[in-house]
Amino acid sequence: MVTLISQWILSLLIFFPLLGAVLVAFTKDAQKARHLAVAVSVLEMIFSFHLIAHFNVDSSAMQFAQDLAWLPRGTGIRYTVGVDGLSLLLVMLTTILCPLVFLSSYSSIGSNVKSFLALFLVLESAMIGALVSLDLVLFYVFWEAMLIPMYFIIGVWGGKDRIYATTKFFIYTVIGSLLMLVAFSYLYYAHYQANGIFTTSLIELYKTAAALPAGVQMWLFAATALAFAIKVPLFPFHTWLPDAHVQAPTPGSVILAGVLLKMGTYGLMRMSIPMFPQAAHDAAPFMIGLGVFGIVYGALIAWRQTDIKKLVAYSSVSHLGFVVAGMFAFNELGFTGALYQMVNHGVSTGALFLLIGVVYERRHTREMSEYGGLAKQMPWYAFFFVVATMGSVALPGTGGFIGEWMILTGVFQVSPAMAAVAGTGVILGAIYMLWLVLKVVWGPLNNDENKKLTDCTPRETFVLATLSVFVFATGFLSVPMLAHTEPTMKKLQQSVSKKEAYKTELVIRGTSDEPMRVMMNGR
Amino acid sequence: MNYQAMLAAVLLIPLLGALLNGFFLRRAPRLVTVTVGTLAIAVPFVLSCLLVFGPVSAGEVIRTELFSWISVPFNEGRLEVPFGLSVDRLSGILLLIITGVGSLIHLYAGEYMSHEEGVYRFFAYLNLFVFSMLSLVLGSNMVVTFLGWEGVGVCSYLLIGYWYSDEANARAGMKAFVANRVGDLGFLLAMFMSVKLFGTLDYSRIAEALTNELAAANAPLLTAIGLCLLLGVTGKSAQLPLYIWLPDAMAGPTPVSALIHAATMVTSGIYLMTRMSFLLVHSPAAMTTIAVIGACTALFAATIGLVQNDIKKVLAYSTVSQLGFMVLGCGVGAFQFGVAHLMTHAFFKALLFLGAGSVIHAMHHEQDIRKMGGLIKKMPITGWTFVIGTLAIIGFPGLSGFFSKDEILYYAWSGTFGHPLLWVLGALAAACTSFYMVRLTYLVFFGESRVEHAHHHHDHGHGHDHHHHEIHENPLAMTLPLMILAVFSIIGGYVSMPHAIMHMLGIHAGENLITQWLAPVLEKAKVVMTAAHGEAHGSAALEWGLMGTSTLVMLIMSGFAIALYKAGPKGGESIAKAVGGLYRLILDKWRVDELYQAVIIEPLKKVGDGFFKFGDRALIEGIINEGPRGIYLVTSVLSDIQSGLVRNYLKVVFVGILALCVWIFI
Repeated sequence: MVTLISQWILSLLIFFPLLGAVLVAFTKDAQKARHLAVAVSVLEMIFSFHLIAHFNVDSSAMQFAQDLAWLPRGTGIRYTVGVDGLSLLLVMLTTILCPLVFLSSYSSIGSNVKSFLALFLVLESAMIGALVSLDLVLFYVFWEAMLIPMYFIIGVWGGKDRIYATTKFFIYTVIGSLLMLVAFSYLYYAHYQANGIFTTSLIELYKTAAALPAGVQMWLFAATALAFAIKVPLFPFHTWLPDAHVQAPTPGSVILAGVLLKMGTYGLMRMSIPMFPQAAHDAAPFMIGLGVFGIVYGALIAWRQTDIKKLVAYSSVSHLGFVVAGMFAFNELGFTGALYQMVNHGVSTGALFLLIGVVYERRHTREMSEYGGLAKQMPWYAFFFVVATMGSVALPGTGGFIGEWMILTGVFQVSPAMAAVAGTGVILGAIYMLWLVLKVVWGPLNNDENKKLTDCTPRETFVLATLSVFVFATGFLSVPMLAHTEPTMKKLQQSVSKKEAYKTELVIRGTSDEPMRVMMNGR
Repeated sequence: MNYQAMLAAVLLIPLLGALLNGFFLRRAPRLVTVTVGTLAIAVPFVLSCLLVFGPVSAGEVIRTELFSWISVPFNEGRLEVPFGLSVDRLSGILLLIITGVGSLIHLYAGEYMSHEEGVYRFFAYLNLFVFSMLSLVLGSNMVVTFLGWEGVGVCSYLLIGYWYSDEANARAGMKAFVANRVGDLGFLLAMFMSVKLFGTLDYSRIAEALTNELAAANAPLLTAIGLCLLLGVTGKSAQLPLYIWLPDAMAGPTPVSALIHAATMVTSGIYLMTRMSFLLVHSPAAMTTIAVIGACTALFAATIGLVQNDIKKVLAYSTVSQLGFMVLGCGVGAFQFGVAHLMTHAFFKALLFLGAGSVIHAMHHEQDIRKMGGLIKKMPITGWTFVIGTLAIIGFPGLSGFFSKDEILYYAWSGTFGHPLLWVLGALAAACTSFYMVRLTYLVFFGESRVEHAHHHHDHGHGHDHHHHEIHENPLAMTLPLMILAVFSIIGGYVSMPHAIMHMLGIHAGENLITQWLAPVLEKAKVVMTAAHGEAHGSAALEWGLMGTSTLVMLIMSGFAIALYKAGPKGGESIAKAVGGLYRLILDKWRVDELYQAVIIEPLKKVGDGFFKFGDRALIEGIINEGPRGIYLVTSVLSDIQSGLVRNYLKVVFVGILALCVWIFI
């Protein structure tokens, strides 16, 4: 039974939310639809725990793999899925964040509830799908499929300027996607020319891509990296993000910051870097430079915003600059830190957007000057706000510290100067985040509107408390968590530093002679 | 209970206290909150005594590892960072100070904060602070120390802004955090360099790895590590140029000022330098910079202290100045006397702050010394213990400050990295100290009472509504800590008795107590210093001479202060008038805050605005919106109506599907 589940678990994780979406669409009552969506996402989360429970922490292979025929045989396009240390944590982040987002949508989404929930479940499917796809076409389909629900979530349930924002979001992403498609097509034919067969298997194409001449590699690297850099978003491709965040409804912002942006950094680590190691090496100083500049640039702009959501949006530009800089240091510290920071950013920034949502629903304004002194009226809210802030400024004891520390230590090994400049982000981060706290949470409670505010409802408290626990849990339990990723990160580091093709394999449970091991407690 | 478990308990009990008060006892009666909060520090104090006077004094180093915190493959091996604790003689001293003085201050705070609502928050923060401070000194590697290092910063932030309803308090908290963060970057960079050079962050492993050959081959890197650590020290221990947060930090409740901003957190820098002494001494450049920074801070802050009129502000600048002495001591290679002064300062400065708090409490939050005077008759315990604190800090012979400060001054002249000029700066600072402390004490406790009888109630945003007009001594919970601290302010200095006096008294123990006690910790540093620079080059005559000079200066300056302020605070006006502009400059604290605002903060804000307006809006958006007209057209069509939007959207999706089909089937 366990073997059977392990064989099908990823497909279940991909398609179960889709099934949920259908069910939600046929539910009559909006409230029932909400309950159903929560139930589906909680079940999904429980399913995903199977991955943790049965993941082989000593292996860098693609586990829980499934490889089925899909499109006509001659095309070489198959349904291939699997998780390794790189995707595992992000899958878990997604399945854990989604129920919390559905809980927050009870109060933040009032119109067209069923459509919203259905779209959101489709989005969850697409996100999981993109994370576990090991076939380029399959990946591309999920990648595009993420775009559609998000487009509507912002465009229909967003704020005043939602159309502008969502169009911008769409155009940026589509341009990136098309570039990626071109690069993938080139690889597809290059593989055919070299081997006489067509394939879109990522594992096969790693070899093809790494064997390409340096010049070609650079073009393909540029095309894919641009696609992912837009999604990250890396400076200077970030200007869609503040608009999208500001206009998106709370659940949209949370999932955008929490998971969707990580698709960009995930893509860089899954595709651009291991596929084109030579080009990645050549581009590394430039990419680290962009990341580090983005850290300072995003932070300084964030400081000067008066719109709370915009401030947090620009803080994402700054934080993800760390992630990009870290992975291009090409050492284990950098890779591990980058991956860990993706998770931490998802938790703390997700929490911040939820917190903004809590007061936005009560006051319908995002202007910082409208708030102030909320600690008096909403003590628990203030508590969660400060916790999320501490996570965001990477205080030791929070996961953000482990991630940033690893990234900076890793970058320092290759470029002390870059690490020092990136380090100023630590100071600037404290400035803009504490400024936000000062203006929203502390100070006198002057505004009469704010004197009527009520503290977090039990549902809000539950969601925020859960994320707060994660902020600290990631800060102290990094070793057991990162044990799952270590072999993968090590392999990635080795192949990239030797500029070799990244080699991995599918492990399909029940067919290999590898014994089933329960790895609940790390190594 | 074995010693490892005791060590873990010392660290974790304050955390437990913080969690209890913060989450589970929010509605508990005040007495429960205070008792839990105080016991959470007092119990670790008892355990600390058992540890320090037991195995640690016998020369053992107790170590324990709670869990593996960070573990990553690194180069060929692994970078392991366990959550490791260790207590040796250096951390032992700090352990006793933190939990001992901490317990007294918790006891005091229970009474001091008795008119406050929701005092659980205060005690939760305070316990959390002690937890952080303990991880700082007990951490067996730099990362655990850094957890404490930033943790005390956060608790300080929360406690300075405890009365958050006044935005000025919250701003002061933020300023403290940001200034500390600047220093923290130095600490971070020092860690990165240590990882690169040693491949570990464990103190004892670094000490093992740092051989003379390695040091010789990496001299510039060691200097860089030293200077980065110094940046960290200037942030946390309020030295030039990052000291600006500490005076503002006085916005917090006074027990906080006593515990955090006098006795413990701000001395972290001295702890760190002593802990890393074996590394710092390899770099004369770094050591000299440390000494110069310390000496300059000592004098600079003391000058500001001369003219302040807020009782807590005087003490704050005094703290900055005294920390400068300690940093000076470390910088000239006399780490043990930096630590000795850390200890005596913890006693007398905590005493002075708690005394000030006692006055402020009795006077319903009046802090202006021009409105006090003659209080010693109404508050004899507070008054006389305050006098003892003052005598200790100005170095009155026989009291604690005399020994620890004079040893630092002696080594400033004659230590391995000492120089007569450093002594001059230190002696001038000491002269200022005598003046401002005697001025403060005299204006508050002696002379005519200038208390305004039609007392108007100062509300600091923490509404208590009772009105006592009569000023009287505070209850025992507040005066007992004063008396205990006064005793230690008298006797605490004997551990660092100068050689000359020891000879005179016929003690032939060789070294004084603190030197003996810290010898194992400072052994490596001493070997390096002796090898490179020979034995320290002082003599009994020099020691007597310097001691005599500073005692004389102290007496003159104290007498001068009393003479000047005998008739009340107006006494200083004639001097103020005579120096005019200089007086106003010092009164405005040399306008350093304004300088930073104009030179750093405002330009950075402009850069941020510029990035937004010209980078994001004009340049990037310009290229994207105006450049390719096609995209712009799509944007404008799409933003018309939603149906148009969906139509166009479907077009794009259709194009995408077409492209996919082309790709697949051709």
